[in-house]
Amino acid sequence: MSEFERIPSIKKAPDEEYYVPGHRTCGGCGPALCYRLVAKAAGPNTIFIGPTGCMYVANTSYGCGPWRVPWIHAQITNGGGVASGIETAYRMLIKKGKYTGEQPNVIVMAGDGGATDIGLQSLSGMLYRGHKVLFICYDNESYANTGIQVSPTTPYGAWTTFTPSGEVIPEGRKHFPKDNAKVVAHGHPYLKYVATGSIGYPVDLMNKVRKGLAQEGPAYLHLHAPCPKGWQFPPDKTIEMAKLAVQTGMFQLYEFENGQYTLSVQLKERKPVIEYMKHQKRFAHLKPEHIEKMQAFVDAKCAEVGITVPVVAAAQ
Amino acid sequence: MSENLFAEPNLKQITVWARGVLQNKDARDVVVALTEAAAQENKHVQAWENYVDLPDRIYVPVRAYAKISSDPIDSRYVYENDAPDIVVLVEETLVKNDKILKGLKEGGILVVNTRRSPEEILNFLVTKGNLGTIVTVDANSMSTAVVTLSGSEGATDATGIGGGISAPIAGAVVKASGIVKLENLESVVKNPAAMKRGYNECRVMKLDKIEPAQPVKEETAWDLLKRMPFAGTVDSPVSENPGMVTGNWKTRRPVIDKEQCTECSTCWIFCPDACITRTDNGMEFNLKYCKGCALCEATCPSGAITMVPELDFKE
Amino acid sequence: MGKVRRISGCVAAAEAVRLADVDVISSYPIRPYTGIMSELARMIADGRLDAELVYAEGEHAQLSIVYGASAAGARTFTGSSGVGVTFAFEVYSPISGERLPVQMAIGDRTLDPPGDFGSEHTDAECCRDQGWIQGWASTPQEVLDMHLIYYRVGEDPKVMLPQYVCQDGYFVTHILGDVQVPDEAQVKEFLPPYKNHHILDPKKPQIIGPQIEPCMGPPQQYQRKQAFDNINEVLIKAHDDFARIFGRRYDPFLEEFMTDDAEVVIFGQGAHMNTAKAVAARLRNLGDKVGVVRLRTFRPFPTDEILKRMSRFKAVGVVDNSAQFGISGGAGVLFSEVRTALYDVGDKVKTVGFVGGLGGEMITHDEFLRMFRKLQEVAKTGKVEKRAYWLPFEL
Repeated sequence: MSEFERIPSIKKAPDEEYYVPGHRTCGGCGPALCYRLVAKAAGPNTIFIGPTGCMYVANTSYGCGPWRVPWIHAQITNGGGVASGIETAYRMLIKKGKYTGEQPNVIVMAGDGGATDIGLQSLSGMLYRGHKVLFICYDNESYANTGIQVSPTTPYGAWTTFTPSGEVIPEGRKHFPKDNAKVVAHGHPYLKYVATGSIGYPVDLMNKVRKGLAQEGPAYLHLHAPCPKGWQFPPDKTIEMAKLAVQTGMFQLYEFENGQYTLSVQLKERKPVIEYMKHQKRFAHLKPEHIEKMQAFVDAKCAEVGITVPVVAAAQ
Repeated sequence: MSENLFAEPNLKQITVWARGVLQNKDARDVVVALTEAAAQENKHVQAWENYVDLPDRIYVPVRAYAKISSDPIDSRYVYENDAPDIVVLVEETLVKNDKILKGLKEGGILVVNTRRSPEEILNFLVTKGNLGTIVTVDANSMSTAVVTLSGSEGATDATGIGGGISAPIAGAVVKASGIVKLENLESVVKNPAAMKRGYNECRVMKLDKIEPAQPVKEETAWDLLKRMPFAGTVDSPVSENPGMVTGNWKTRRPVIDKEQCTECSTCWIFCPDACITRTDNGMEFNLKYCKGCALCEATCPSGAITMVPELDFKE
Repeated sequence: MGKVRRISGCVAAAEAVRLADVDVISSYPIRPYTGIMSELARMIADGRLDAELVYAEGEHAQLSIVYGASAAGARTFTGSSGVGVTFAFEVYSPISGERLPVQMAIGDRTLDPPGDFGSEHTDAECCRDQGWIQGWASTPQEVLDMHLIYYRVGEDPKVMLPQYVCQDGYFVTHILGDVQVPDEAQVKEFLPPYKNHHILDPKKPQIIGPQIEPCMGPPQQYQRKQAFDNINEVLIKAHDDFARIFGRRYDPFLEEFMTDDAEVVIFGQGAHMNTAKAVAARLRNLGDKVGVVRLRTFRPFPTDEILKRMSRFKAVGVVDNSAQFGISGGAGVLFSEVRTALYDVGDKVKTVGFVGGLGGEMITHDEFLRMFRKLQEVAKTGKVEKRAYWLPFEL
């Protein structure tokens, strides 16, 4: 890993924007903020690959886009493959003297569908070959661009248009979500840096972007980006939801290097998951037994990465 | 003459504007309720949402449409109403949008959900071309908006029609236009009481004089071909993307109290739209693009930012 | 001048890629095109080619990789066969739509079923309308030459479109032929370095592939059509320059064999036409006025050339080495399109479709003989009793 300049605080974060005003994302859009923070951290010598998803369709409507750096559309299936080609091309063109300039940062901004579902094969191929690419999953826990359908990262019990609650299936979404950071972390020999981040913790997120880009080879970031439309909470609560996800352990913030998890936020205690779920209408249909199942699942996920602090309900 | 050949003299068009996601359902309900009522009068009807506005985003202006005619509707396969008889705004700040009255027929009706008076709303109109009547109805005081994605993307709406603010708005449309009989509308909406309040309590103002609309020159396909960049590839923007100006999305705008502001940069870092700039003069808001999401207000640790209704400002 | 070697179509394709100084190659194994990539891997390992071979995890990834690499300014190459060609289908239109002059070799193979490795044009013909230039080479020499010519045409500023260079599996990919491998200096003269002004470069940032509104759909598609309309002119010029520099002249569209006073001809593309030529020559010895027309450029389909040059025959038999069920005319896509092209000459030219060689089965001398005899019967009687024949069952 090469040296990189760490951002010490919000106040000292760089002013320059590479994801500028003018995009058709929702008011209060978590993934849009995620994009802005990633672009800010990465700087000008960057190429973005945008697999189909909200961050393609909403950002490029119509015949334009908000990126000050090069951006190319990829299919929802092939972010990793397209990035592999770009990274290889620049390496070869520089080697053969056909391009004078530094190897650019190559960043894929894939949604959870493009990263964990239909695009997972492409991601894995890119990681195993060792391309120097930062692959980012901005996780808003559904196929949001198509109008909120279940994806592998949709939480248990969450309403989507494919997982409505009904008499036969009261909880709606029956499956527990796929943990993509762990899926990719263990079997790709050139992948030395895997981390999770959250838009609720912007300095941590931006430093993880810089650390990911400083790797000799690929890096994978899984970034939690709450979606007011899909999760059905008011758009001014996006940051509150992001923070509550971390504070309840619904989303765990860590870095994974050399087989070790390093926690990014030291929680003194965890809030019960209901403190997070109650703000989101996608969970409104759940019964106490469903919440209990969710709590047990989250407890186990926290234990996996070493979050051992007790769950403490807020005083009434 | 092609205009005459395709004329539909008995066709009435209704265009409903609303804010994406939060009011999409109520916008759709206005057109569905009116067309269902018209169908009871053996009219030919069509109700649909603007496909290009979808997938809708929170606060983006979206449109739903109705066509009602005593003749079969020949112009079914279009994206938009080209010449509305009635324009409805489900949310008042849409009045600042210069496109709302586009194509309005001479003497057309504008119905606005607002607590404000017709006179006040009239002052905000960018253009009054062809407008004959303006109607205001305080639907928010008569019912509550229904926020749901049920019924989106052509699926069945499991939540019923006309339960939310669409009911009083549709009532006001009928009061102003008589486009359907009140009893037929009453039979299709889920909240007839609110619908009747809208009918009875709306304020109708006829304009003394109808200003003629300015003709709009539409681009031809050849014009578009000429300005089509190679393979659609465009240069990256530098400081803002003028291709998608989003300032007219907001219903409230942030106002900062610079006395209270500590310049901690929290609002700045959390703005998804990069609409806050740190300057020597403190935090500056870019209202040309600000969507009014209020994340700045919500995250400000010192309470220095307040969201103020957009119509409290003339500009 | 380069020296003559006896090499397969696979090796010939690889030699062309080496001579074109390609930068990025993406591979995935599937018979029968695999040999091209093995050959390229060997060249790279030995230092004869300075390119990176990216081991894609599938054909879809192969095309995704060259899409990205081409958009970053690299000259690229990939290839596949059979179901590999169809697995990558999603990426073909984005490549031509973004106007990236990627090149792909297709060593034809039947789709499944039948589950075998034999050649059928069905795989490549599936992709025929995706905005790629497409043609069939019938010998290893032609394979090498066509790869070079197609790079030059595809990368022309007036065109900027991807290209499929197709060769019959086994018959061309695996059977050796005499090939004159040109010198690098000759290739340099013929093929200028790849330049694209619409690439991903942080020094000149651009947005590639944004969404559009429906009103921009017609202009965007029309622009791609206009580029396609420019191909023929560029193709002719490239063939002229090729003949001047390398001393080998091909007709860009249709190769005619013994057609001067021919009354009936077999029309087709690819290696099977070599067999058809042999049969025609034997029949000529008997005094029969028969010939062969071999299609070289399938996309853009040379409608006007066909109309102009084939309306002089009494009967044309179109051979389709592909399975296209339910297609207009009842044979294959070549038959359907030749009939359309010849529509304007009316009843003067009789057309008959022949489907043969499915699943990679040979089309034998005897089968071609039966086709010629059928065509002679049609020419003599002026009657087409049956429009299309599936061989060997129906003829």
